[in-house]
Amino acid sequence: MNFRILGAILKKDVLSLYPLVLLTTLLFAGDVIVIRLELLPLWESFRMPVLLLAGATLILTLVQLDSRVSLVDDWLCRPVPCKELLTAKLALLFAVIYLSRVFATLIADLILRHSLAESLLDAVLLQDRLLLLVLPLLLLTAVVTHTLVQGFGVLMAVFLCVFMIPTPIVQAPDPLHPAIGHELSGVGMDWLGTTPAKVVAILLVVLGLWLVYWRRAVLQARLVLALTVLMTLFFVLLPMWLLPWPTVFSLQTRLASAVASLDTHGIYLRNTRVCFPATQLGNLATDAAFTAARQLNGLQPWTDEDLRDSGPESIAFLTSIEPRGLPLDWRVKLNYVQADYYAGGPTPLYSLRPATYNTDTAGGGSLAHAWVLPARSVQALKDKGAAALQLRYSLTLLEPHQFSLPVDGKRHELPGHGYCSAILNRTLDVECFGGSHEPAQISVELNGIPASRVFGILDLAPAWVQWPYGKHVQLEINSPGLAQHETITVTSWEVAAYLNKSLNAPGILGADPRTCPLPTADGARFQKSRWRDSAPHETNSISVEEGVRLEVLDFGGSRSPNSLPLLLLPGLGATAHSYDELAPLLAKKHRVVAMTRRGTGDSSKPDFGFDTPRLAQDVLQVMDVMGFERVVLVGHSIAGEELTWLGGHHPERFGGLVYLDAAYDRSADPADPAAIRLREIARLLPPEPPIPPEALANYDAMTKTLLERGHVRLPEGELIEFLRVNSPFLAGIPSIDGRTQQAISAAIQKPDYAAVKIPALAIYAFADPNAPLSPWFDPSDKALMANLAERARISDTMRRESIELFRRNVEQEQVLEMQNATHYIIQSNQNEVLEAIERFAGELGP
Amino acid sequence: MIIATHHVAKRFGRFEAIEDLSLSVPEGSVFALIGPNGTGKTTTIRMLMNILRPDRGDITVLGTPSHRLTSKDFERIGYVSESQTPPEGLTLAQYFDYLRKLYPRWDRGLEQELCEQFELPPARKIKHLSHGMRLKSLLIGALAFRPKLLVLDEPLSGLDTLVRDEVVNGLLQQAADTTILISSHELSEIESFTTHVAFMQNGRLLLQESIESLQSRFRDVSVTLSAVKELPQPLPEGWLLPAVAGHRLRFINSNHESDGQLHQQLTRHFGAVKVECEPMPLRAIANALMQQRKRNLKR
Repeated sequence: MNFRILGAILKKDVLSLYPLVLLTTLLFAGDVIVIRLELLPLWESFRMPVLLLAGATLILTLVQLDSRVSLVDDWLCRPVPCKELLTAKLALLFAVIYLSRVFATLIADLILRHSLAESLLDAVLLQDRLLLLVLPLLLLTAVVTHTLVQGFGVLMAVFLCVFMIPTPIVQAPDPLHPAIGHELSGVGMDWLGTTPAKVVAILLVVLGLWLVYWRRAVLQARLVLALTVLMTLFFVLLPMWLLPWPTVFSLQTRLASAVASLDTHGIYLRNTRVCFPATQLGNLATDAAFTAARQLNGLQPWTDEDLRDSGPESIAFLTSIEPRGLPLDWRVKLNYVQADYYAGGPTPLYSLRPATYNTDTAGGGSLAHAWVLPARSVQALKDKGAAALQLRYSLTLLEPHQFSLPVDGKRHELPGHGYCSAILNRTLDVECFGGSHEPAQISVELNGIPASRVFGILDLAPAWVQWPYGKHVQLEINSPGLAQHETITVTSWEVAAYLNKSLNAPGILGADPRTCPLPTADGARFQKSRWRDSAPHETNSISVEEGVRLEVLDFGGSRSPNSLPLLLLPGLGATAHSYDELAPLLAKKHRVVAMTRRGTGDSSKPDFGFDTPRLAQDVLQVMDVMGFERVVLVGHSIAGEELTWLGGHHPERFGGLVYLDAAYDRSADPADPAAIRLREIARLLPPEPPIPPEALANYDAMTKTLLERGHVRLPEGELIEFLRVNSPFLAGIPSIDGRTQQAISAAIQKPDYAAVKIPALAIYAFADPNAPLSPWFDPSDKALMANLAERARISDTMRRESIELFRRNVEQEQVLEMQNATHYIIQSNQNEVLEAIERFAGELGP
Repeated sequence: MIIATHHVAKRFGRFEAIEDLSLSVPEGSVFALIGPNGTGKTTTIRMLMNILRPDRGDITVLGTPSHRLTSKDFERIGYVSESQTPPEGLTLAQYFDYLRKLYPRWDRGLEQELCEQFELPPARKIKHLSHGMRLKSLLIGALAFRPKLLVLDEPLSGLDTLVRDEVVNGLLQQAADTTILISSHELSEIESFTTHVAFMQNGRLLLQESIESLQSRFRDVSVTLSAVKELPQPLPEGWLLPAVAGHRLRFINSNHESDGQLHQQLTRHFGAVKVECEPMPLRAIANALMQQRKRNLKR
C-alpha cells in the first residue's frame, strides 16, 4: 500500500469536495448530538430522509470524482492504482459517516455524564441496523454510474423496486392460512429478514467493485447491481414464506445456541377455563358477553380483512392457555400458534391462524388468542362426527436475571448486561444501553409488582449477528404511584430453550360438547343468573380522597352504650362481603360496618395509595364520615397491616384490635430461602381444575362445588363479586386485579408491634392435620406428598415465629390458637370467631 | 514499435466505428493521426489507453497488451485530451502537487519552467481557467515527468494562433526523448514538426507513412499534350484523380521515383509532352487521398 499516493488522493478529494464533506460530517455528527441530548424534537421525524440524501450525495459525488464509467476522467491514464484509489474513497466515507458519529456519541454521552467505559462502547458500536444494507447498495450504484443525476435515477428505480414490487406478492392472511410477515418482528426474528440480505449485499458489492475497477467490466457490474437488489429483496421476503413456522424455529434453534441440557419435559400447557368462549360471527356486534371476554384477555377485534371469506355462521372463539411447570420466575414468549382441527385422520383438516398475535401480556404469562372457524368448515366437521382440536404452540423459554436500579437519574452499570438509568417524570422513564452482550429482552417493573412490568422488544438474533450493534431501550412505567420507587427492578431475559408444546381438546370448541356446546340460533347458552346478595346490609360509597370512593357495608346493629362499634376489614383481594354471614350475627349486639379497601371489588381502583399508611388513612376517613369516634378494628389476613399501623399511630381512635389470622410478619425478604421454597412448591403443585359452568348456575351449585373441592363456604355476596357470576364468559375466573393486589403486598413493612399499646387479640388458624386432600391431588404421588408436608412444615414454622413476635412485642396481647381451622377463618370457624370477638369487645367496654 | 495494433475493430451498437486498423508507431517518432471529425481518431486513442476495449484485434503499447496496462506503465505515458476532466475544484498548484506524488519521476524544475513559459496562475482554480490555459496545464501535467510516450488527442483544437504556437513550442522542446502520437483534423497545424503521418477515414486507415517518404513519392503533375488524347487504359498504377481538359492532363502521381522516369512514362503514353511536376504539401496529399477513396467507394 503506497501511503504517499493514498494521501495524495485523499487530499485531492477533500480539497475538491470540502463543502460537501463538511456539511455531511456536520449532519451526521450533529444528528447524534441532537438526538442524544434531545435538543430538537422535530428532528426525529425527518432525520432519516435528510441523512440518507446527504450520505447518498456524498458517496455518489466522491466516487464519481474518479469514475471508471466515464471516458474522460483525468485519472484513467494516470498511475493511480485501484487499491489505493478505493481505499482512499472508503477511508473518507468511513471518516465522515462513522468516525464523526463516534466522536459525537462520545461527546454527547460524556455530557450526559455516562461513564467513560459506557461512552466508548456506545460510540464504537453501530446504532443503525440498516446501515450495512444501504451503504453497500449506495456504493455500488455510485461506482456504476458517472453523474449525480444518473446515480439518483438508479437509486429511485431501486427504491420503487423495493417498495412497489413486494406488495402484490405478499398474500393477505385469512382465518385458514397460517400467519406471515408482520409477526416476524413480534417474535424477535427480524434478524432472519435482514442478516442474510446484508451478507449477500456485501459480497455482491465487493464483486461489483472488483469488476469495475480491476476488470473494467462496467456492464457486468451493472448486472451485479440489479442482482444485488433482487437478492436483497428475496432474502427479506423469504422468511415470510418460510412456512410452516417450525422450519424457521428449527433453523433458529440451530443457529442460536440455547441451553441444550435443559430438561423441558416438565413444562406443559393448561386451559385456564373449561370451555372456550364462542359466538357466531353474525352475533359478534351484539354479543356483549363475548366482547367482555375478548377485552378481558386484551385481544384486538377482527379486521374486515380477517373476516373476508367467513360467513355469519362462522364460529369465533377465544382460547386462554397458561404454561405450567416452568422454573421459578421464568416465562415463555409466544413464537407462533396454530389451531389444527382433526377429524379422525393423522393430518389436520383445517389449520387456523389467530386473528392477531398477542405475543406478550405484561407479567401475566397466559397465552390468549381469538380464532375464526369458517362456516363451511364448521359444517364439514359436524358432518364428520368426532372432531378434535389441537392447539400447537411454539414458545421461547426465557430465563431472568434481576437487578435493582436506583431511580436517581444517574447511570448505573448492571454487571454483564449493560447500563441503565431511571428517572421519575409523570411516568417512570428507564433508559438502558446494552453493549456487546445483549439479552434477548429487557423488562422493568416496580419492586414487588410483576403486574406493572413493561417489556422491551424481543430480539432473538444470535450473538454473531448482534456484535457490531449497540442496543438502546427506552421503557416507561405508567402509574408509578403504585409503589415506592426509590429503586425498581430491571430484568434481563436470556433465551434458555425453544419449546414446542401442544394442547388437545375434544370437540369443535375444545371442550366436552355436553358442557360447552356450539352456540345455538337463539344464542343463550347460560341460564340467567340466579344469584342474589340477600345479606342484610346497606351499601354506601364513601369518598376517602379525590377520585377514590370505597364500598362500605353498614350492617346496622344497636349502638350499645357499653360497646364500641366494630369496623371489619377484609383480606387481600376480598371485599366487605366476606363478612356477609358473620356481620349480621355480630350486629345483634354491636354496631357493625365493613369496608372494602381500594383496588378491590366495588371500591375505586386508582393507580396510587396502596402503602399501609394511606390504606390506614382510608380507614380513618371512613370512620370520620360514618361518625365513629372510636371503634374496635377487626381485620382478616392482610388487614393486619392496617391494624398494626393504626393501633400504633392512632391509639386514641381504637379501643382494641382483633387479628383474624392476620398477625403475621409479611415483610419477609424475597430472597429469604423459606419464602422462595414456598413459591417453588406452589409452582409444582397440580393446579386446581377450572370451575365448570354448571357450578355457576346458582349459589347452591357453587357452594356444593366449593365444598367438594375442600374449600370453605363463602357468602353469596362475596362470590358474586369474586367470581363475576353475572358474566357467562368471565364467570368462574377470579376478579382480582393483579396490579393493585401486588402493590398492596409490595408496600408491606415489618409490623411495629411494639408501638401497639392498646389491647390486641390475635387469632391464629391451625390446619387440621387430618383434613382430606384436595381432590385433584394424587395421594400415591410421593413427590407431591413430600412437597405438601414440607409446605405445611414451613408454614407452621412461620406461624410460630409470628406468634412469638406478636407475643413478645405487643403490650396487651392475647393470642388464641384455633385448631382445625383454615385461613378463611371467618367462615371455617364462624362461631368460635364470633364468640372470641364478642368476648374481647365486651372486655373493652365503651 | 512503441505502439502496434493488429486488425483492431470496434463497434458501438450497430455502428462500426473502427474497422481493421493496423497501426504502427515507431519509437522516437512524432506520429500524426489525421482524419476528419468523426472518423474514429479519439476512439482509437482511447483504445490505446485502455479506456475502451477493442472488439477484435490486439493492441500493444510499450511492449504490453493494452488491457494489461498497469499503473506502473502509466508512469511513463502522458495523455492529453481536449475533453479530459481534471479535478475542477483544485487550484493549479494543488493539482500539480497531487500529480507530483503520483509520478516518481516528476521533474519539479521542468514543471515550474513550463508554468512560467505558459504564464499560468498557480493559485487559480481549474474551473476558472480559459480553454487555452486549461489545455496548457494539462500539457504540463503530461510533460513534467518526462514520459516515454506522449499521446495527444486534438490538443490544438479551439486554441488561438498565439497559444497554439506556445503549445507547439513547448512540445518541440520535448520531442527529443519522447515518442509523440498526436491526432488532429487540421493537418497544417502540425505538419511542421511531425515525422510520420497516418490518415484515417470512416474508421479505416488509408495509409501510414513517414513524411519524408510521402513527400518524396507524391507529385502534382500537370501535362500539356500535343493533341487531345484519351486517358490510357488501364490507368497506370499510382495515378490518382486524373482529369483531362482539352490539351491539359492533370493527375497526382503517388509513385514518383524521379523526374526522368516520369517523363519517360508520359512520353510512352502520349508522345511529345510538356511536363510540370511539383512536390505537394501534406495537406494536398491528404485531400487527394481522401477524394480518391470517395471515388473508389462510389464505384
